[in-house]
Amino acid sequence: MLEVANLVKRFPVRGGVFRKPLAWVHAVSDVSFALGQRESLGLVGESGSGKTTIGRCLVRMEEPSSGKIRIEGVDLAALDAKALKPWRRRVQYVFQDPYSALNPRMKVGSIVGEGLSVHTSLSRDEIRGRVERLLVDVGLSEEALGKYPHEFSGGQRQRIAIARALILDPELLVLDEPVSALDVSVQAQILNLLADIREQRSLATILISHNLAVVRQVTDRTAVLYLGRIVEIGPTAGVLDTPRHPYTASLVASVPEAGRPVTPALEGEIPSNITPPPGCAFHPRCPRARQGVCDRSLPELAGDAGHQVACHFPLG
Amino acid sequence: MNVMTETRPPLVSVRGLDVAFAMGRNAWFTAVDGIDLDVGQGEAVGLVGESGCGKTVTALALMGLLPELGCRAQAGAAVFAGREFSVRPGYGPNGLARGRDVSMVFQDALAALDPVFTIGAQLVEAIRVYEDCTKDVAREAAIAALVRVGIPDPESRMRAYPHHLSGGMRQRVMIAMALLHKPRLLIADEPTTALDVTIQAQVLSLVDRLRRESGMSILFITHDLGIVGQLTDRVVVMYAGMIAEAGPTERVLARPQHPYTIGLLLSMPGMHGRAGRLAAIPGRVPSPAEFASIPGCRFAPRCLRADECCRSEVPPLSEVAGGWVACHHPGGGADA
Repeated sequence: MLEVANLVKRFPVRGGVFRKPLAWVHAVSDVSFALGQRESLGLVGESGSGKTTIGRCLVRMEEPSSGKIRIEGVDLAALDAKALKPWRRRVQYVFQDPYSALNPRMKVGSIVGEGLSVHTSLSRDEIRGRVERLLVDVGLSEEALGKYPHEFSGGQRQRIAIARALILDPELLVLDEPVSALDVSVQAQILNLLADIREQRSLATILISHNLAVVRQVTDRTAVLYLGRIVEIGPTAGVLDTPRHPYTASLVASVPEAGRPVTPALEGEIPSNITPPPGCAFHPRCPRARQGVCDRSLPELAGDAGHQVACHFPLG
Repeated sequence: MNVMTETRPPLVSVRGLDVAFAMGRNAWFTAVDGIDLDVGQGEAVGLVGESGCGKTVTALALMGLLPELGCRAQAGAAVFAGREFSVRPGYGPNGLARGRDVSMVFQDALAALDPVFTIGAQLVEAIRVYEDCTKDVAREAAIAALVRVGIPDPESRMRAYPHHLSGGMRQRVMIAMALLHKPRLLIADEPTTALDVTIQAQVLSLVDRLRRESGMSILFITHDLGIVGQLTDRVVVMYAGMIAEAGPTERVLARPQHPYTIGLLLSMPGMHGRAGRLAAIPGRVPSPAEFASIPGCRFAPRCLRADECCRSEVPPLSEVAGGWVACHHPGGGADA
């Protein structure tokens, strides 16, 4: 359904009198993956891993520096704004912070219905009817239509944001940390709602999250990112239960859990995206790194079709 | 009411803490409603709850950091190491030596550190509050403090400004600053929520190590039950300004008695196998302004066990299963 090939996104670091680019932040480097219909893919990584940038490139909120984003064989990355418009309704986005993502001056009815008035020629009443039905579907009442976002709690706002993304019946939904701003007891409600949506609609989802437990709950496959590259990709259970990349293993080991000793799985911090380490970007922190190999050559994603890892000395 | 059964005499003991904030003219809402809290010598206590439950306000009351304007606070008793202290709002003297008796590490290190002074200047200033020494001596002590929290190249970090450092490094600096005068109680308010998981693990293990080395007590405020399970001896679960459940961490996590604790544990997605549908707690967390409008148990509107009694009578904290639970129908939390 979706195919991302060799996606690259660099941001310039500008300075000097003429605001010339002095250096480049390599946010996403050569990322490729495919997503089937109704499939759910998790993008996992720490800050600076490029997971959000990939999501934003998919909806062209960022222009990819190079690479292809194909849906039904059409490369969205190459389309101009006009040609892109019919595709926009097929890929929708839900933001992390439901407080800043909703326009405080618009009523919920207009927020959720806006997509329909832009993309369809439905009458006001028809739009209203659809919005009402969808609001009920996402667990709100019809009265929500005439209210403003500030009248709702965080969890309810996220439901509104999800309704806005669903109103155009997209084929792909990109969810950027959809529960991390919510209270724990409310997170579960939204995760259940997402599960229901996936069951009821024919829809592929990409879930961007740093929370491995959330990814495990919602996704079929998981891609682990480090410094803008996929280091491991495979079925979620396989990646999290039997990680093959040392970075994935330390991510899993870092999740605080009762009964587990508090020992850091990794020393050091994520290096700068401006000057990523040569060879495998993870080698300065990697317990398995070998001199002369890991610091020289970049490992390619390899392995059987299901579960691939980019490491010279993978685990297991 | 001796809520916290501890064999050793507690280091801090607060009874009946009330904190209220002004909401418009002559209207007050109660953020913390009559809670009792003990922290034993060398004990690590987790204070758990969601936004607005009063966990941070409780910590600020202990630190004497409640704002003077628009805030009322009182306690039936507040004792630290045998002497009384005050929970009165205002930043003036409260009977505790901040930094020596109690220190606090805040959630947002970038906001807690002063952006216009170097790390070194801030550490030196903090050292000289209690120690009558020259700047050079204080400088050496500051470098030693940075070494203790595992900051690489401490001498050059002394000249750095807070924004030069990564989130994890800033949090280490704050921990170093909090521990300068060897406090007997460290209050850590969500010190790792802003950090990545691998960095979080580093900071948590640092806190754990420093606690074991120094024998200080810790009050760890968090919403993450995984962290509570890893780091604390005892846990206090708060809901809507009151204590819902308290007891030994291992027991509370394995056999929770309060429906809220049970709900929290069940609503967390696990790391081992997909849980299918999560058992979400219906409804939402009430805001402190709404507490007063909930008669009876404040969890009742979201509780599956709630009956007439729950909706009219506030359940007292009573002893159940080696801990304390405020519920009319406690029990039943098998391994969640």
